[in-house]
Amino acid sequence: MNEKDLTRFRKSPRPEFADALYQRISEPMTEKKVFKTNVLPLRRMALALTLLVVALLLTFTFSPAARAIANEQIRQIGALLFREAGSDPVPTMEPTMAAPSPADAPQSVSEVQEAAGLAGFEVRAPRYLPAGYVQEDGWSVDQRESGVYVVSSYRQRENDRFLLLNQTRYTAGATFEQVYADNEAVTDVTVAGQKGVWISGRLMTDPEVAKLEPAGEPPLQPTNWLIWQEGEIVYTLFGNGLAQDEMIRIAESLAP
Amino acid sequence: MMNAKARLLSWVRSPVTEEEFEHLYQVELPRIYNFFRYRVGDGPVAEDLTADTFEKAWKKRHRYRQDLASFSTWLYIIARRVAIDHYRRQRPLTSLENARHLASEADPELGTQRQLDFERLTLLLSRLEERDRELIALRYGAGLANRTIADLTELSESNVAVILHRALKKLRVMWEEPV
Repeated sequence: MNEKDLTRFRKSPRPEFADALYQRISEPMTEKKVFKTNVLPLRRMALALTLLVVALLLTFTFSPAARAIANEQIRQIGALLFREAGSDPVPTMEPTMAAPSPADAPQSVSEVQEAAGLAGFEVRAPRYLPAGYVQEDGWSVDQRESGVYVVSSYRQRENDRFLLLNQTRYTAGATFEQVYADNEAVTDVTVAGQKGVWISGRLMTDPEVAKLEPAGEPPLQPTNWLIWQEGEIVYTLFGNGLAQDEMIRIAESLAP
Repeated sequence: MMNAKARLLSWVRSPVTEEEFEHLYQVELPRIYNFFRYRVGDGPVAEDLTADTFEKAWKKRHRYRQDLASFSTWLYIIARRVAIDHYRRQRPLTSLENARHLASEADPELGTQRQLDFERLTLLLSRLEERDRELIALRYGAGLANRTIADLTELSESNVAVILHRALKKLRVMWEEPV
């Protein structure tokens, strides 16, 4: 009995089982509503319209999603929808955009003006950074179906801290849902007079460690996130080791 | 090599899409299925637990966070919970009676002798400690790397290797005992 002996017992699932299971879970993906084509008499249409209005009112009053929005369990910053783990999903805000293919590659430039030229919008750089933080690798611009992403990264080597700034103009209609993990604390903040979200405790890998070990799963560490929108651009600033007031100070120092 | 910024961009991507799920289904179905076969033995229970895992994964796909784990890893987290729930509900197929019952159903893919051997292996695995058996199912059933198993089980990679080595040694001794 050795390792090879143990693996020789693997076998494929029965094709009929694999097909039936896929059919079962894919039904909700492909299900399409069928509308009857017969024309309703005017009176019945009026009744249907009334019932629809009542149903919408009831939905808004009693649905968990509506209550969640009212209770601020759900927050939205531009295309980003933040939902607490216990709350129900909002059906109209399902993600609609396909994920980018691995072949898509971001363009890297060294100057902020070049980044702005590629992105097609005003790209900002922080005028304030805490002591020891320096920008690394210039600017990365990525054009995707879901939007245009501009990313810059900063690092303070002494304390092994990283900070990333993401400036995104999402494609119209794009919506992305982010569900808070249990270990994350989310609060409302104001950044440069705009509504923002502060998320603390989000576990992530250090991007540099991830770069060194692309195939592996490097250790996670708590990070803080500041997300806000100005005009049509959604800004995401996140990193390890910086408190909320420092992050807001960096955010409010952003300028073209 | 994926650079840091490309990885960051992947963090802000949407949750898993239908197309991604279909691809993952094709790749991961045999692995998850074999994870359960090595946990509970051959037969309909392994299929039921596999189905349960994928149904849960699809229903909860909005809760999946790409910045926390790969989708495959997330799938194994669900599979492990499904297995735990199964063991809480009922005892696994461990008795000789079950093994004999299963032996009566010929499996063309494995062949009769190999099938009998697997049923014996299932029986021997049931005599191992729960953690040893789970690690064997993840390593040799699903074919996961020690590092992935370490992350899933919150053990160190070297710890996983040592536990697997010891479990394999125990299995070898039991396997060589007369039936």
